[in-house]
Amino acid sequence: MASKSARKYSITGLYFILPFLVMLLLFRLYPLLFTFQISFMRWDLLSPREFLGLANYQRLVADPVFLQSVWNTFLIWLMNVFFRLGVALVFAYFLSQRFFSRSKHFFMAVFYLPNLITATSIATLFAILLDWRTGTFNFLLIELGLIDQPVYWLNSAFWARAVTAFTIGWMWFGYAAILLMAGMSAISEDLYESATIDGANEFQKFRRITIPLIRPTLTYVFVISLIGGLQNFDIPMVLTDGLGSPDRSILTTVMYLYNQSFRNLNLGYGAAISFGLFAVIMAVTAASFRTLYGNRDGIE
Amino acid sequence: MHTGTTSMQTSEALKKVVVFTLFGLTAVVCIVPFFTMIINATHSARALSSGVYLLPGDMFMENYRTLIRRTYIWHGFMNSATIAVPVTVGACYFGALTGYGFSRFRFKGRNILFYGILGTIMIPPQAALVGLFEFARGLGVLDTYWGIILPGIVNPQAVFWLRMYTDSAIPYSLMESARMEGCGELRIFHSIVLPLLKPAIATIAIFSFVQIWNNYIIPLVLINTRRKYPLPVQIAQLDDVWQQDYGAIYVGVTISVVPIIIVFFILSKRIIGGLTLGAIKG
Repeated sequence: MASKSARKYSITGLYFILPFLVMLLLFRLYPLLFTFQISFMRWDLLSPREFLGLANYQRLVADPVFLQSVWNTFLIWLMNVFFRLGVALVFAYFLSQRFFSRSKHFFMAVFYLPNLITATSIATLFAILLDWRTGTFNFLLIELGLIDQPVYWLNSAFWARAVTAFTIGWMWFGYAAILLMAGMSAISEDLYESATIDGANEFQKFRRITIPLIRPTLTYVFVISLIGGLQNFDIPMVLTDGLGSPDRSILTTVMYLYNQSFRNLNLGYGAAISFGLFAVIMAVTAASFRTLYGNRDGIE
Repeated sequence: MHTGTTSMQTSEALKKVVVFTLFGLTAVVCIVPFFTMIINATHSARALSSGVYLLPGDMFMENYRTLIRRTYIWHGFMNSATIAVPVTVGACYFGALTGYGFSRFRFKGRNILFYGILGTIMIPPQAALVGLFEFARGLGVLDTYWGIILPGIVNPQAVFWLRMYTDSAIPYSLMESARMEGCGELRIFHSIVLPLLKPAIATIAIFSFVQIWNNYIIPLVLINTRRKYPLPVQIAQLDDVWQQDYGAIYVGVTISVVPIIIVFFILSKRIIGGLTLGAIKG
């Protein structure tokens, strides 16, 4: 009887997951494999596809624009990640203090708010607030006496990157703070109490107890920021003319992938960029998860 | 430690003041852009190019009329809803169906399939963009929402969360007694399990909705008629329409942002509570 019912349920279970599996294969994995196939071809939508072998990949590793786009993407991530995580860490620490119990939810909600708003809306808003001649931000700085002349923020490579990095940091620090706070709340109060008895001050407790114990959450937030950072598209795309101006300073990898595929109609080369990006993301994720789980047994 | 009670209270109080000031200023930084957006939406482009305003003006309707004369902002709203509603419903339904299948049945290859599905979370959606475009073109569904909706329904995170929730929240005894009474497996799922999964589904529905609502690159690639673009693409193209009429652009951005803020303040507890769902437990 038992084996009969087990067999019966085994088939039933597959029925339950079959629709999802079919859709996953059709709508997610098939386009991915198809992209991989196209990455070995020359294709402009109009003329027939032509097999090129590894030519697209050879071009990719020597393409200065591609390499620059990878560098830009990385740089913009680097410009915001430590600031973002630093702020999140300090805020999470204060939010997990007892005296915050009443206003905690309000602050978390406000800090998290920018994360929910459509990125293209935020980028459009920031682009016009920062406009050279008519932007409110310049007028504000002039009124405050901080500058004499309006600054053409988005015409400078440094400021264009800084604005992009700030916008992303602004959208994501609340998310990081909430996750880190949840990690901190899980730490046993006893640990802090015995440290207090041993004469540890607040900073020592933070460094020696809090930080090591939230390391998994910290790594998770870090990895999420890196994966998201490598896929950076919406904000730099809207902040510029789509080409990453000035001087391609905020041309990200996904923007380059989009431009090559759908503006220049080099779909084969665009597909190769996709897989270049995919490889980078997989490598980075694997490396990060090794750091996350590698030292689990306390061997350091 | 020579600190007396009073000085400790003072330092506690001082700390509170410092932290509240810091948090208050940061809260201002979070809110001011949206506040300025709303204020600026009520001033004319000409007024905006001459100074900062702290109070609303009376040009909102004027800006609004300029906006709708030249753009498809409300079309964008409807298009976004047309995409986001079926995606959310589908992601939740198939997420629950699949999560339940993994949670409650033993079958060959269960673990491999589950971790395989989980692994697809790591595939960046942009990596499949060229293939998705050609797939949609081959099926003749370019410039329709099928190419956005169908892949959107496939949501591995929803499967993961709903499996975990089913593991912990659905008692086996309920299913057993339903089976005794001769209930079919699919009926057990629909009339007993699905209602019990409601709290988890509600959280997943919010995140799935937000994710697809804010999506920019996929519709940008698959849709090529301006009237058919969802809201994020409409907004991104606002300043292509006119370089100078910033009053109208502010109105457009406001229309896209304010509904999200309102919904967020209604659902904020659930949203913030749901954030830690995806995180690894320490």
